[in-house]
Amino acid sequence: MKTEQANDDNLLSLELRIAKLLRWGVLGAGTLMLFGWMSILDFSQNPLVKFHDYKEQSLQNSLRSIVENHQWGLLIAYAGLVLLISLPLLRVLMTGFLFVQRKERILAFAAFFVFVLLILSFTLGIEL
Amino acid sequence: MYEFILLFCSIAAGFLGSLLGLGGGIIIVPTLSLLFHVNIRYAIAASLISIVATSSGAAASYLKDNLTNLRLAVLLEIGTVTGAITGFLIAKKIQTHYLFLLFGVFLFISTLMTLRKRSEHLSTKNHPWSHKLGLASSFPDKKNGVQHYNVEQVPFGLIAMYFAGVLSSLLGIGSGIFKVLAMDGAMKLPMKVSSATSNFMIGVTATASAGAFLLRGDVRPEIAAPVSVGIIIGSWIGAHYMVKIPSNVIRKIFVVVLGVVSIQMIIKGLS
Repeated sequence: MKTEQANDDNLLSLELRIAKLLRWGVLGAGTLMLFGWMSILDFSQNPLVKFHDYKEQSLQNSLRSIVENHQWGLLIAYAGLVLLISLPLLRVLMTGFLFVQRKERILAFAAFFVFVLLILSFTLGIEL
Repeated sequence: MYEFILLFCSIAAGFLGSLLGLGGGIIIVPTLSLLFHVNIRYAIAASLISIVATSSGAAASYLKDNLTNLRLAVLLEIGTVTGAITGFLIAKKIQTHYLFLLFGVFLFISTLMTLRKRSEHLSTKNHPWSHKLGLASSFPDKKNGVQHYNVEQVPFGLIAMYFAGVLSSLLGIGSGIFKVLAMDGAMKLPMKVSSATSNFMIGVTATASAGAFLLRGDVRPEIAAPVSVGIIIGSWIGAHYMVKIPSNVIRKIFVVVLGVVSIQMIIKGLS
């Protein structure tokens, strides 16, 4: 039982290092989002009015319109969002390598499978 | 002006979410859709982003106390992420009023479940999958020094996580309550372990649909940025000052408030 506890402690301490890295990533993403959002603040109107009705507009089209209209604040906020979304992906991938290193093949496969599922889920958002 | 009201509401949602153990998502979706009249699809997408932020930021604290069962989390993430993909596909097709209805019912059930008393049932049996993958583990316990535990019904747990993933993606919530229910009740994990493991998995589940919603264009920074930043600040305040607040009284008050909100969501769904 002591070996099992030591084994788990070692695994968790390695994962803890990854999680601490992610915390910095969240801080960076949050800063980008906050900075981007603050730079587009417009007190003359209610900016949420345009979101009362749902309009389908892909990320690709939104980014094109942002670049055309020089809305750099929005672009920075989007960069924060992309960074944020990529953090759990990175966590799953690194956990997979952690299990490879420990020769726990089934769990390494499970982690890489989750990674592939996440990538697959992202592609579902792209309207072809 | 409206932006700052939204930021303030998000801070309050994060604070209350951490106080009630519900997560901010379950509060922010009704706030955005009922108070700010934001379309529920944008509200759900923004809520998922805030879940990714809070869960990724707090992952270290879930691991620090050696309560998270990392092996089990990785295995169960297969179920939650597959469920989230299904949820996203349903969300694309489902009509808005059904989302209100579903959310209202879910909020009502979740609110009632915050009042339930959880009881510990440690198992002496270990499921063959648990044996094979080394899922049985132990955690430091004040009473017994080290508390060993087994894991039962792993396949059932995977199926339960699939449905939790569907709900998460469909309604923009972490669905931690259902994850914990399956892990406590069916898999017989200790309460502390199931809560920590569920919290650890929530971010990955939300990422599956948040990424898809982002690429689809439903995540709008004008909403997602203040909501995420607000919820992170609110949860941080909640986690640090929770001990100083008489949480039982506040819990009872907000259970009533959330109950009323859930009925409003149902009415909006039916109208």
